[in-house]
Amino acid sequence: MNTKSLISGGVCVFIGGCFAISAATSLKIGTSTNMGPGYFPFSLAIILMGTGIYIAVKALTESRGDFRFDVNAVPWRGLILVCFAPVFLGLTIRGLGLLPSVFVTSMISGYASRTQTFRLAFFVSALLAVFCALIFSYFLKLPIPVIGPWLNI
Amino acid sequence: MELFSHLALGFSVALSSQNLLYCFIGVIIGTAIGVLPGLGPVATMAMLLPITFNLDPTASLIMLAGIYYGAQYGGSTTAILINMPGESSAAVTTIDGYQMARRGRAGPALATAALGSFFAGCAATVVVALVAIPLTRVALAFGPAEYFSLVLLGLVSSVVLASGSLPKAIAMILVGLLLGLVGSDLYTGVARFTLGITELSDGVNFTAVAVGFFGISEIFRNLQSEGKNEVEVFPIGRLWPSREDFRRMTGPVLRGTAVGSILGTLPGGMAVLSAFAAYAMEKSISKNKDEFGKGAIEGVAAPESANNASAQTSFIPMLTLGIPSNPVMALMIGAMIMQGVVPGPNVITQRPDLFWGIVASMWIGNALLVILNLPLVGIWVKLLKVPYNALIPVIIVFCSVGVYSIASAPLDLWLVAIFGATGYFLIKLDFEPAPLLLGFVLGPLLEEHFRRAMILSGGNLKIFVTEPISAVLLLVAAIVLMAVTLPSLYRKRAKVFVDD
Repeated sequence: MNTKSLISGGVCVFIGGCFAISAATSLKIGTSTNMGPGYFPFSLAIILMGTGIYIAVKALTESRGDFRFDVNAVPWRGLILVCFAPVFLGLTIRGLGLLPSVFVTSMISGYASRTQTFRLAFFVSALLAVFCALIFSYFLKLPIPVIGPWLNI
Repeated sequence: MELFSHLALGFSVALSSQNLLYCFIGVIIGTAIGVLPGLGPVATMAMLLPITFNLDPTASLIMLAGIYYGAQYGGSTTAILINMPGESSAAVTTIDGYQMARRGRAGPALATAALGSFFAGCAATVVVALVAIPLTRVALAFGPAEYFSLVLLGLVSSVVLASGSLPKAIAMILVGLLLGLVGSDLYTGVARFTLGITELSDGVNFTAVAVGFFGISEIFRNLQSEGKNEVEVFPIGRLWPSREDFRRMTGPVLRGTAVGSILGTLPGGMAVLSAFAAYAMEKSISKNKDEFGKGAIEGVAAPESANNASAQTSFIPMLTLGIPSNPVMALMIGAMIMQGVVPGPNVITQRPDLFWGIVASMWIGNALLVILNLPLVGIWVKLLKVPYNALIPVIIVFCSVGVYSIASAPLDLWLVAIFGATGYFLIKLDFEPAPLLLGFVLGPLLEEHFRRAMILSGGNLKIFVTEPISAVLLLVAAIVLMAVTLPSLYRKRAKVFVDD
């Protein structure tokens, strides 16, 4: 049994299943002569599930079972910080303004690496904040405040 | 001749001060990211895509194109000097290029790579200019059934040439297609798969998908292999190749250009594959077989010409048919759509300035690249000292601000995070993100042509095999798909990608 392929197959069936159920319950499927908005996606979702089942069944017959999901090999710290950084920017760019928001986002993402030093992170973030303000606000003239209303008390 | 007036138009567009500037910026960025290991053209283009949204369409496409072929030049520098391909298509160059550097011939190796790339880039651009109009004429005669089959063939070929498992690549295409269908239905306006979120009714933001799956998940991949960054750079020495070197590189450059030009036009044709093919061919016909792997100049000239030629000709299906043959071209299509240019055979007739401007800019860009890369190679080498720790914040901030700037929707940034994390785990399970991006771009197109064909035929699926052109395209797709499942070819394919 090939565990990795088995999981992969399961993921396909899951994604296909979500789309198929959503299409079947909320969209009109129709017939091939009179197709509804759900017809094409529903067909694709079924084919995806089929592919997933094929991958999974084939995995059962394979003998290589050397896959172990190593939780320690996943760079969790990086994963969380790197994913949080864009979300933070989205939440604060209006309120804080481009300059401070970019600075903090850059600091957050800088620490994704275990070998980061404060000096490098600070230096890069400061430079990046000024550079972004120049490019996006002055050069491309995007309607984003450089310093936002939250800081103008 | 008609061609000359087209080219005159192209040069008048490409030589305007604005477009010249963006071409220059593009090739500089391209060379830089080509040199930097861990940052490829796909991630960079995804990152800069939102910024180009604010530019004029021609300027933005010229710049994006410059990044792509610029990276082919930069990638070879790293390959030769530190035995690490700065860009995947330069992987083959490491074999003989690095050996040349170890023997104190880094200079001639770099010069061979740059000159070979330059010749190949210019020659392949001629191919683009010559083939474009006839191919467009053929494509204009296509009906919905033919188009559906053509898109299907494009998707199938990309699967075949993707690395890794075939069913997994197919699954990724399907996921991409489904993701591309999120949003309002074209015919009825019904919202599909939007989970009640109004921002999604226009579809999932293309840049969020590209940035998430290529920009962000790339960082995770690099974080995992952190700490392997010790590099020793060989001194470059005398740059110019000797007369003997020139004599030996001529044949490989010509053959490499031919191989690359042909493979580049095929759907799914990636620069890396052309480089492998050209290297293998040179090795089998060369008189100095035993020198290969020990610093043969042919082993640098052939793959470097091939990868640049195919980078150039892979624009052909994208510009004339609107079908992307690799993730880079999918990004170009995405950029066009964002700019309001409908990709397909009509581009060349409706926007000749755009089309010929891009073609002309390729010559200009290649000329700029030789100037940038040969005398200034010492400056690029310094880039190798940039620590990855400094790059991560730059990548993330540019991705985030860029994506946000398109619609000012925080939701798009949440999608970036979700797609980034999903992309990482999918890669862990050996799913490649490239087919997903192709599927995402082609999803709406495939559905539209399918539904139109069905209306035309009264719901009869037979239309795809009774229309002769469509039948041939489907037959080719079937043959390609069957050929991969043949055991002998499957092993060869696996071997090519293991070497990668």
